[in-house]
Amino acid sequence: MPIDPGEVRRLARLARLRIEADEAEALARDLERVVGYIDSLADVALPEDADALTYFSSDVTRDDHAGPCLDHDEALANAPEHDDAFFLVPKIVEKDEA
Amino acid sequence: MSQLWQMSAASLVAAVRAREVSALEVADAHIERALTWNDLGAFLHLEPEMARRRARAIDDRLARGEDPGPLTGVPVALKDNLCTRDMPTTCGSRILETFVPPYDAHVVERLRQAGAVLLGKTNLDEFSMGSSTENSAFRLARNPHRLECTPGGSSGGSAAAVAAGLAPLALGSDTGGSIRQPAAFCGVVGLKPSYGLVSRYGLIAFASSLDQIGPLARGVDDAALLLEAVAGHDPRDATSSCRAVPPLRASGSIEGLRLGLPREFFGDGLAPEVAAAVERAKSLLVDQGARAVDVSLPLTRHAIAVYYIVAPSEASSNLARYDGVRYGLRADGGDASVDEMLATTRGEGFGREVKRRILLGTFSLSSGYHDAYYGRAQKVRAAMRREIEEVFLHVDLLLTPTTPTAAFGLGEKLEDPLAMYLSDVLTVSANLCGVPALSLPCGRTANGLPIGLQLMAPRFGEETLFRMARAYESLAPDASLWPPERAA
Repeated sequence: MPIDPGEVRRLARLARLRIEADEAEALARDLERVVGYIDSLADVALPEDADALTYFSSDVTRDDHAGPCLDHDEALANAPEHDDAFFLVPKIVEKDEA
Repeated sequence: MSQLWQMSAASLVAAVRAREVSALEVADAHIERALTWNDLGAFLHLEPEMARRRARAIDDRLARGEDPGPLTGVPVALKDNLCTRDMPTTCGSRILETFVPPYDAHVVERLRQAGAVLLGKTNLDEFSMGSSTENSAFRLARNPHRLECTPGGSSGGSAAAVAAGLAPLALGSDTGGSIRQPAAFCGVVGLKPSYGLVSRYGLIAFASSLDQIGPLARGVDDAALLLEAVAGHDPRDATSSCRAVPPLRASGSIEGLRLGLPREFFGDGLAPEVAAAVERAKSLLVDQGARAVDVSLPLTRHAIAVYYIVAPSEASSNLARYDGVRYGLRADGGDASVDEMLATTRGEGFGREVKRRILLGTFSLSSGYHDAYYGRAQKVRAAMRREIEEVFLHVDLLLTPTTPTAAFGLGEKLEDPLAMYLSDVLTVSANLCGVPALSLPCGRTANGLPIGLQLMAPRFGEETLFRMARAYESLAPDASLWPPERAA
């Protein structure tokens, strides 16, 4: 199926990925070729009620116990911006102007 | 006596334990070697001081009469997608350039407990997405057998390091062939274990239904030694199996073992030199009592298509965590909103191939396309798994080439993503079906490039896999493949 730069921009919005204009064209060409290839799966003969494989390991369950986890300072150590207690992000909620 | 960097891990353990050589001397020999071969681009972070400190600590323990463990004094290189609490873990990506994890991966803990000396972190394609290590954001990696060729990927740094004697052992990860293909290109042994055999706790996730950590080494026994050290149940990875790990270094007869030759793996695109080398390997094994059986796995023809839906879909979800908030890069956005900061951070932090795969995964999972792509791929994958399980009712192992050609040139496939994807055509099936697969050297091309032989077993059939690989190694005149030496 054809994939144009507009479709690339739509996907990039969904994936929260900033794409430059010239990048969108090149990515559209690449994706169109790859999607053209994976479209071949439509021709595989499968029974109507074929199961989908989701995961392999069904022999593992665990009890839900509380245990040690990351120390607060360790968890914050790699954050681009933080204060003593929290990760900091740009302001989300605007102050009510009214 | 051979040089320390030429020795196997098993003989280094014996020599260090017997105090014939110190762990520090062993570490120094490999560090010196790594510095000499720096332009190979095998390491992203070499940690000489840390390695020496660790080696001295092991020598001290030996002096006190303690046993530091099964990998006493052995230098090990780690792919840079394995979390290490005292070294950077970048995944070859700008987005994690400054990241030092607050914890060790399970396999790293196990290596420390086993007495290994961690040398540093090896080069890889960004987030393991690639087949040549050319997608690393930091350094170009080269093939030690021919510097203008790629070492393969994504664990290209680990394979190059082991091949050139910078480390006797390395860990890699394999999502669609990322251990076996570079092992084949660099002339070393590489194993993707059964899904669930090795805990992925602390492995930075790419495609969680496919990812496995595995060993690279210059010999079959060394690969088994490393696998034994890291395999086994870990409650922190919900897919980690509770089965006991069998001893993997016991030798045994291959008399009567049935080797399946799936005809789909010997088709178009297979280089004649590769086909001939694999045919010779098969004949050697048959002469020793193995039985060759022609089999067919028709659905594996669709393996690349299934893989390039499943893996990017999982990756687009796994890589959603890079948001510029908790770790890694944050784009300098001034007054940007959270959404703008997030999109700009990801736009600047991820390279072209990672973006391509995130978009492809987003496409396969998005509303209106999900059933036709992701849903259908999962159904074909289930059928493919049943097909291979049925074949394994009739044969003990499968024997195939690891790659259709020997190592390709730097830059040769970089601008053609589909051609790069197709280079994994013979390896992805093992990941999609969760079965173990091992690559070992089986000769060279006329140009001197290594050729890889792939063996696959039913899930948790590692013992048989190693038995066959060991048998081949003991028969083959060119199972050991050192790259050409260079002036120090």
